[in-house]
Parts: sequence; structure tokens; C-alpha cells
Amino acid sequence: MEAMSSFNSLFNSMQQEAKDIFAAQGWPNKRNEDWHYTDLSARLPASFQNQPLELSEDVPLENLTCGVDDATQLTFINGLLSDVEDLPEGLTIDALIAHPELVKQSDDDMTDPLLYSNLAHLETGIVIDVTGVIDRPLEIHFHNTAAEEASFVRIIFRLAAGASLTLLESHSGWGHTQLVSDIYQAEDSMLRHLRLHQAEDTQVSLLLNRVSLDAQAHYHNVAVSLSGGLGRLETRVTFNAPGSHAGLATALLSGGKQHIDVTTRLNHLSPDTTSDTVARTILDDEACGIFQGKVIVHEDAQRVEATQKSDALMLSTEAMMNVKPELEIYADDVACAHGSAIGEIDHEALFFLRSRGIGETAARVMLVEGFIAEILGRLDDFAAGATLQENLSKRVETYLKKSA
Amino acid sequence: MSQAKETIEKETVDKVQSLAGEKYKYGFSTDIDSEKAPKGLNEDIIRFISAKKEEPEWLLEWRLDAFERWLTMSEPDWAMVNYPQIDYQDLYYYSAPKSMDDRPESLDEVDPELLRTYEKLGIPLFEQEVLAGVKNRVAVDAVFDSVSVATTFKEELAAAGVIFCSFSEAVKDHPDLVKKYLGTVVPKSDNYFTALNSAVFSDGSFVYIPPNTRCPMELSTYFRINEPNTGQFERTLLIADKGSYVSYLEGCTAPMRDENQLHAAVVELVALEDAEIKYSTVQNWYPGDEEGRGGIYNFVTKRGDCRENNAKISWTQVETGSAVTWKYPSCILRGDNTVGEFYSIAIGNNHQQIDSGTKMIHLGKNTSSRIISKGISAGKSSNAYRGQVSVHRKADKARNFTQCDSLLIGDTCSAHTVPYIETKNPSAILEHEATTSKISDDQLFYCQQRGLDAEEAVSLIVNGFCKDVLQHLPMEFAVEAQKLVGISLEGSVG
Repeated sequence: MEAMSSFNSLFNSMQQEAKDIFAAQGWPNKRNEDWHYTDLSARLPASFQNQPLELSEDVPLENLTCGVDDATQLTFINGLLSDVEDLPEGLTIDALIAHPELVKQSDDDMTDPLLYSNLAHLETGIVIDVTGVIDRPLEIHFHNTAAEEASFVRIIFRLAAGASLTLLESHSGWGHTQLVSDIYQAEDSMLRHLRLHQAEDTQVSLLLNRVSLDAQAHYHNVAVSLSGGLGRLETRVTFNAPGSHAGLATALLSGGKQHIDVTTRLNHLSPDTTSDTVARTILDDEACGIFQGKVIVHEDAQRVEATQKSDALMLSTEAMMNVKPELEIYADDVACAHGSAIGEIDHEALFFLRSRGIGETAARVMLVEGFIAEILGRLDDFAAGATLQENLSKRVETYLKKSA
Repeated sequence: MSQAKETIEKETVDKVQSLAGEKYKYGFSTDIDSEKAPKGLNEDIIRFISAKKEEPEWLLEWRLDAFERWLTMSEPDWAMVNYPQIDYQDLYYYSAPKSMDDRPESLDEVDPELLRTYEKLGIPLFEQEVLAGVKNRVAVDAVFDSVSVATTFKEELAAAGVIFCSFSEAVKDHPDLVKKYLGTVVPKSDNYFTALNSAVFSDGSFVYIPPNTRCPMELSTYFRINEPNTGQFERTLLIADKGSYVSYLEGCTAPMRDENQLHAAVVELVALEDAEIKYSTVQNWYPGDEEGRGGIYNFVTKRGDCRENNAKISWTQVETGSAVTWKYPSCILRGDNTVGEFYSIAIGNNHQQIDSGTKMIHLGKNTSSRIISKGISAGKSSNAYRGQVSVHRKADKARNFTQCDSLLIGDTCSAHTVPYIETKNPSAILEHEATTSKISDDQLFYCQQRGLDAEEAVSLIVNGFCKDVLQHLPMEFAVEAQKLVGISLEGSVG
């Protein structure tokens, strides 16, 4: 008990520090190079009413989750963990407050706006330990019930050596969601991570994913975003030992006045590590898409292979796309490449389909589906991969038909 | 095979290190009396420079305004370069060769000391006339420190209506043109270094090509930094009027010095309707010694404005010198159907740091741009490509192709690629490709199999890597550029 209270005071002092920094620095503006295209200071309120809303009744979440029946469900409503089902063997959940060392480790950089703002307002923090091979997917759903609601959550995942998990993370609702996920993967572990973002068009989502990989650890991320207001999906991966690999695939479908920013930072510290990043962005209406990818190959990290590809399809004259794929290489025996292409729907392909009797709308939907098929295809290896692919394809189709 | 590979790698690395033995060929300095203003920068110095050059009141005002703005600005720190803090009050801002008063009428009258310097530099004033024949002569507006002292072929150019003179002469003889175009492409407060340059620029070149004129020869300026502690602040203004064409060459060498030298030049190009400007640079200023001591700081702002329809501006650069390079030749594609091109080879060795690239700003309809950048890093150098392609809302059917490749030689150097691609128009087609790698083992093996030794093979491959850019240099420059690639790198690997 004494240890707990001493931890509490440690936590409180760290949180106070974060609050002070937030009060002084606030949200980053575009003078901050990492936020050049997403000026938060101009878009977000300087402070939040941080009282979780009381719920009078159950919130219907059908069609908002990933729709896998046998998944273990964890649900955060307005930033609070609402129910915990029976957990499969090899999976345990604990309160973050019981792990002082993790908070300390996790907040090593207080100059990072996503970290200090998250800690300053933190409502719920949990630690999820995975010690074995888990067959059932774990779904964590985040939902805000009102526009004035702001939720701040931190989750720390620890995958033991040889552990394996399919994680389904989904976001829906209104308001402001800020999630920091720290993922520590020991050797030979495997995490398959689907992130489905399907929020209302006023929602602000700032999602930061930090992954640390040991030898032979593999991290596979598939992110699919269907609508939402202001979104920043940031993934940072650190490759600490040989054989580690990260695959990041993102499909963004955006319209309205949506502003969606995908930022990746891959830190290859160790030799013989590999990564591949693919982002496909579809922009309609007045949407603004951003892809900022950065691959850093450190000294002595020889034989690193890293590829980065960002393609964007512009469907409207009001849309806007900004791309910044960076390479920062300090080792010589590497093969790193990035490619980027931006354009509109290929008129010849459209003509081909139409000349075969397919209506214009249907033809456009087909072409757009084809554009992101590769991303959904990466769900093949996921637990319940076929169901996920089917569900997502359907939602993509519904989304496209609606916007067409 | 793996053993062979190790041998090659080791040899390559050794050779790179032995580049230290490849001393800077142009490391000499000439003692010529020069007249200079005291160290430091304030309004009085600016008035001194302006008075010295007998400038009109408006230009002095322009300089003072730039200086005022400069005082409020801070040095940019976003580039991937590190250098000690520059004390701007510890520099000389004006120095002119003394023989200025009795300006020579012809080359025969030029200070023989100067001519000897040019000879060492390899500026072939006479030689080229003989070798290339009269029709293909190159006019040289040689800049020695800050003031032009020799200009040739003026008459022939004048017959064609081409104005090619030093900037100070242009201010005296063609004030209307200067006033009309100065600062319209690169505003004086565009950035820290342009504001500094606008305040203290000493001299430079001025070119005006009249309408429907094809400039009868390649125009060429050789820059030369000579006086210790003299920042060189060149200002080049080139205007190609409607339907004209000009090819402009710029090459630089500098004597070996221990102290770092600052160079903040501004180049402005204006291409009016149907005009075409080809601007080529070979830059081999002193890069510092193998320990990274000395060397030029090269902070240059170059920008071309395709102001009217169908204009074209093409930049070609071979950057092998300077300790620190900060340079982004850009094109503003304002008119419809305008074209911008950027071909670059940037070679870094020892402790050189290069942060270079381009900006292509698409404003008009049917504009197209092409960027080919080849970066080679050896020794402990750092080489960054930083480029921006921006398509504005009304730039229908804009087209861009960008390719930036980096080659790494040795494991202590680094290569970075920082492209910014921004579009607000769906009809734009933008493509970007970048690769970073070392020389492929397959290619090496292929060459060796055919009887080349490892180093010859490496040299051949490096040459091939640069070829896309080298072939865009004018003939007169291609030879020098190839030689330079040799001095900078081939000696180290081949």
C-alpha cells in the first residue's frame, strides 16, 4: 500500500510536469517540422473539460467494431474501460498505475506534444501482457458519445518471447480521442495490428503507436480509415535487434472537410532489419491527406532493407495532398527506396470498364477498390482474416457508394 | 565471392581515405593589393559600399531596407548541416582589387598577376578562342573577389543587343532594367542570406537578352574567392526577353585557406514569353582539408521565374566543393505551358556537408517539371537532397517527375532524402522515386568478369550513375565537370 502511494506521488509529479509543459507549450504549430502540415494549435482548443460523461444507457456499437464474433472485447467509452470479459489464457490486464517503471520508460521525451498532452490529461492507463500464442483476436474499441467529450488513454502492450496476438483496434464516435500505445515485443514475438478508424466527421483522433522490436520480432500493421474529422495516425518503430521486421499498410478514404495525417518514423538501430511501408490515400470533396514517412538507418545498421511507397488518388478539385517521404541513411550497405505518385483516376481504365457496360459510378468504385485491395489483402495472415477482409470490403463499398 | 567482396569494400574504403592525398588542385592564393572596408556590418558599411560603387539613392535605400529586415531575422537551422556559429561582425563586406581606378581597356592591360591566377584556375580566355573557333567563343565576365575586372566579347554581344556586364555597370548604364527586375524573383527578405546579400552585395553579373534573340555564345562567369575573411556576396540578374535563348555557365574555384569563408550569393532569372534559359554551374570551391578544417560556406539562393507563357528554365549543377552547401535552385512556373528542369550531381567527401535540392512551384496550366538528382557521399560527408514540388489550385494538368538517387561509399558517410510533394489539383500527375544504396555487387561482378579491376569497375559505375546529369551540361563545361568528378571522387575509388 505504501509502495502504491509512493508510486501515486511519482505518477502525480510526472503528470504535473506534463500539465505544466502543456500549459506552456500547448499544441504544436506548423513551425514544428513534424507538424508542418497539421497545425494543431490552430485546430484544437487550448484546454479540455476533462470530466468523463455519465452514461445513462448502453451504447450500441454494432457496425462500429471490426465485427469478429469470437474476439475478446475491451471497450473504452469516453476514455473509461467499461467492461472486461473473460480473458484467454496467456493474456492479462493490469492498471498502469501499478507499473511505475513503465510510465517512466514510456515518457522519456517530454518535448513530444503527443506524449505530454496525453499524460497531462490521462484518464485510463492499462498494461496488457501477452505471454503465449493467442488464437482469439483481442478487440479494443474506443467510442466517445458526445462532441464535448475528450478521452485520453494509454495502453502498454508487452509481448513475451514467442508470444503472438492479433489486435483489432477500432475507433468511433464524436469528440476528441487521444491514444498512446506502447508496444514492447520480445524476441520471436508477432503482433498483427488492425486499426479501424470509422468516426463521425467532427471527431479528432490523435493516435500514437510506438513499437519496440527485439530479435526476430515482427509487427504487422494494417490501418483503414473511413471518414472522421481531424486524424493523425502516427507510428514509430524501433528495430533493436537483427531479424526484426515491420510492415505498415494504410488505406485512407477521406471526404468532406476531413484532414488526415499518416506519419511514420522507422528507426533501424540494428543491422539486418527490414521494413516496408505502403500508404494509399483517396481524397474526395475538400479532404486533405498527408503522408510523412521517415526511415532512419543508423550507423552500423548494415544490410537494412526499407521500402516506402505512398500513392494518392484525387477525386475532387478541392482536395489536397501533401507528401514527405524521407530517408536518413548513415550506413552504406543498405537498400532503401521510396516512391510516391499522385494523380486522378486513370481515364483509360475508366473507359475500359465503361466500354464493357459498367456504369460510371460502379466503374469508379471498382477502380478505387482495386487501388486499396493490396492493403486489405494484408489481412490474410490475421486471425479471422477472411471475416475481417469481408467486413472491411463491405464497408469500403458502402462508403464509396454513399460518397459517389 | 564474399571474400572478394570484402576485399573490394576494404580497397574502396582505403581509397576513399586516401583521398586525403588528393590535394586541392587550386589551392593557391595571389597577393594583390586590395582596398577594403573595415570588418563588421552596420549602416555605415552599407553606405560605404554604395558610395564606393557610386550607386543611385534608390539602390542605397533598397540595401538599407534589406539590412533592416536582416537584423530582425535569424539564421535558418532546418538544413542538415552543422557549422560553427558565424560571427557576421568579424567579416569584411567589401574588398576591391586596387587597379580598379585605371580599368583595363583590353585583356592585354589586365594585371598580369590576375591573368596568371586565371591561368592556374584553368580559365581558358585565349585558349578557348583558339580551340573552339570564333563562332563558339565563350565570353568571360571574371569576378576576382568582388568586382569585375575583365569582360570580353562585349562588342560582339552588343551587336546582338545582348547586355552582359558587371552588376555595378548595369546599375550605371541600365538603371531602368535593374530597377524593374531586381528583387522580383528573390525578394530581399526571402530568407536570412538573401537579406544579407541584398544589403551588402558587392558585384556580380547582369545579363539581358533582347526579344527574339538567340545569344550568339555561351555566357560564362568565373567566381573566385581570394581575400581572406571576405564574404563574397554576388548578385546575378539574368533576363531573357520574349522569344530569346541564353545558356549561362558559372564555375568557381577558391584558394586553400584555413579559415572558413562565407559566400551568400543570389541569382535571379527571369524568362518572359517563349524564352529559354539554361543555367549551368560547376562548383568546386575549397571543401576544407581531410580533418574538415577550412572550406567555403556556400549559402546560395537561386531562383528562376518563368514569368510568361511557354518559358523554360533549366538548372544543371555539379557540386563538388565547399565545406557546407545550402543551395536550392528553384523554378516558379507562373506562365502556362512553362517548363522547369533541375539536374544535379552533388559529391561530398571528407567532412563536406551538402543540403541541396530544388523547388518547383507550379502555378500556371500545363506546366511541367523534371528533377534528376544524384548524390554521392564518401568519407565522412553528409549529403541531403531537399526538394519541393508544389502544385497550386489553378495549375491544371501539371506534371512532375522526380528521381533522386544516393550512392554511399564507405560506412562513415550519410545520405538523406527530404522531398516535399504538395498538390491541390487533382489533374496533376506527380511521380517521385528515390533510392539509396551502395554500388551493387552484381554490377561490380559483371564488370570484373569482363576484365576490369575492382577500382576501374567502381569508377565506371560511378560515371554511369552521374551520366543522366552530365549529359545536360554544355560541351564547354562537360569536360571540366567530368574532370571534377574525377578529382572529387574517382581518384578515391578508381
